[in-house]
Amino acid sequence: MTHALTSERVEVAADGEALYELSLEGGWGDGVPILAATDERILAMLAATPLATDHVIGALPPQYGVATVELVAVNAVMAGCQPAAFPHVLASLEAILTPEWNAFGLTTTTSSVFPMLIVNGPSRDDLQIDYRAGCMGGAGGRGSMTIGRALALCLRNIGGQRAGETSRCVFGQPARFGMCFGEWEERSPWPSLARRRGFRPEQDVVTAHGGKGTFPLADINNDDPHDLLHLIAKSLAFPLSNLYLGGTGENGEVVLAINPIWSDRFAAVFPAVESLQEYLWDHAWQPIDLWPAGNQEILRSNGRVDDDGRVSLVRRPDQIVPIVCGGLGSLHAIALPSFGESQMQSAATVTAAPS
Amino acid sequence: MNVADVEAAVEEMGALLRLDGADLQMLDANPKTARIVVALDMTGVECEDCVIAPELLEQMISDAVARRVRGEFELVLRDPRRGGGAGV
Amino acid sequence: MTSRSTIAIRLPTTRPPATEGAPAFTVDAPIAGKVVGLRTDLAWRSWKLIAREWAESIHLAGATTLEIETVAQVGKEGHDDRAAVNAWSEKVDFGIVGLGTCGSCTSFSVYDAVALEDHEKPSLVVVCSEFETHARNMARFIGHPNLKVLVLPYPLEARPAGELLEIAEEYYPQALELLGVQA
Repeated sequence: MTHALTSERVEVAADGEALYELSLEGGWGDGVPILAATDERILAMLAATPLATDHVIGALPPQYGVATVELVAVNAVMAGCQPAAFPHVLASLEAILTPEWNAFGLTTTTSSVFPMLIVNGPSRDDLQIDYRAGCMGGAGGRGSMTIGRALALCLRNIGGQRAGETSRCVFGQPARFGMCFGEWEERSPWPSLARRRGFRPEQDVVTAHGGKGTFPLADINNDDPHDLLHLIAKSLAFPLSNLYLGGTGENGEVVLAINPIWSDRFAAVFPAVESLQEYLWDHAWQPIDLWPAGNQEILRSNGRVDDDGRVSLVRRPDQIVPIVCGGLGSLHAIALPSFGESQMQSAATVTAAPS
Repeated sequence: MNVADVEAAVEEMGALLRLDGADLQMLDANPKTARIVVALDMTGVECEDCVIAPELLEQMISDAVARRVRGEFELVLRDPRRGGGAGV
Repeated sequence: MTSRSTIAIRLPTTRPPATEGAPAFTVDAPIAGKVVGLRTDLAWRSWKLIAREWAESIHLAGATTLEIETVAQVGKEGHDDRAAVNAWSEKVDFGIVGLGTCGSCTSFSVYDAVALEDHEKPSLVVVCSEFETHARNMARFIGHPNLKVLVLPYPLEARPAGELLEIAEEYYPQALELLGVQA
């Protein structure tokens, strides 16, 4: 396939620092040095997808800039993506552009929420998508550090999402640089997230979760898996969760990343992931009198309080989404709290046929 | 995880154990799960107390592996002297 | 070709799609006899109180109200809400949509106000001052740069009922004026 590039072309000094300065002045960088988007690099990126250069992935909110494959490739080059990872970038865009992900709301909200990419499939190692120790920061695999970054640059440069301007985010979060990690499928005692969402094991799948941040959970005291899961569930149901704000609790998922040691322990008593979800859901509630009177009134009027005075975090067990990843040090889990008005979306990658 | 490196570590510890009539076998070393399963063979041992104590042995095997293998791994030692983990 | 000291790169940005911008409709008539739509949201009680006050004033002026409350942005509830807003847009003569007092709720208030405009019904989106620029941006981004915006004080939600009633009374005339309601 031949590619005729149409993006605006400029001459810059052949000096990495000059390029970096230009990106800062132009507002199309993310504050961190970028790679030069030369035609050679862009064409190499485009060779990794069967999609035409001018194929439109979609219109990215908030400004509804048109995301062509070429423009996405430019941003992916800047992010440092290797061409083999480009299909993952495209899949992540496909996922967030699904209406139910609610990019319209999530790109403009005051919340810190940002797409958190969870990767399944056989390409994780080749692409250096981290799923073991430090998978959410610190491992430094190229795939993990650049795929999420490419998506973030697309949202900035094509969607026009800029904090304090078109995005009303109050704090943002570190994931806004880009967050992409994998599931340690081989250590998971349950079917992978992608399998549970209907994909085949041989597919490379990107799931975009609208997550507000990483919420650390730690324990050194509980041997009984039921006790530990009870505490985890109570931690998920923290009172200022978005899921308690003002809605009905019907939408949104909470991702629970469990380390492999704990997952073995939990699977011994919950061999089916659905039973684990059921148990977590059953315990993820708070008593209504935890909240001040004003909040109680809101929760009651929104139909959130059951006959026993319990306020469940979510309406259904499947809204709590366990995945297995992280190192072998045990002792920790991480929750990725939900924005609420967003449903996680998955897309399989589409790669170019070998030439 | 390079399996050959794990085998070398197991052999290093095996040589040590053979001095007391015991041996160490590698049952599994899976790079995808980062799990290494080894088993202590006590069949040739005349003096059981002479063999390195289970907790120390596990640490020594882990150290031997760590000197050769980059990154995390989970070591499972099946030691007939401990309940719950049958030896070879 | 590049000189020895420069390289050619492609820029990663694009201009937003050019749109002419839809016109905004106005009432240009007295309110008596009209069906006035009031859209509130489950999340914002302050706006529900103000809307209730305005409803009473509207009734006193000889008009009727058709009220709708949205609860969600996505999922079945979100779908149902957008469908309900569309159906409501068909039935009313003009509508007032609120409340924009956060990022996404402002976006969706604008979105639902545009539903009225798409039905050629005058609309007014009600936002708090902190989100005025955001509302106008969003209206422009979705092709309705002339959308009428009423700006209320911010923050609104934590104010006592007495203050909210004062705000309701103070801003009601401005709401009608923006909509082009004639005396």
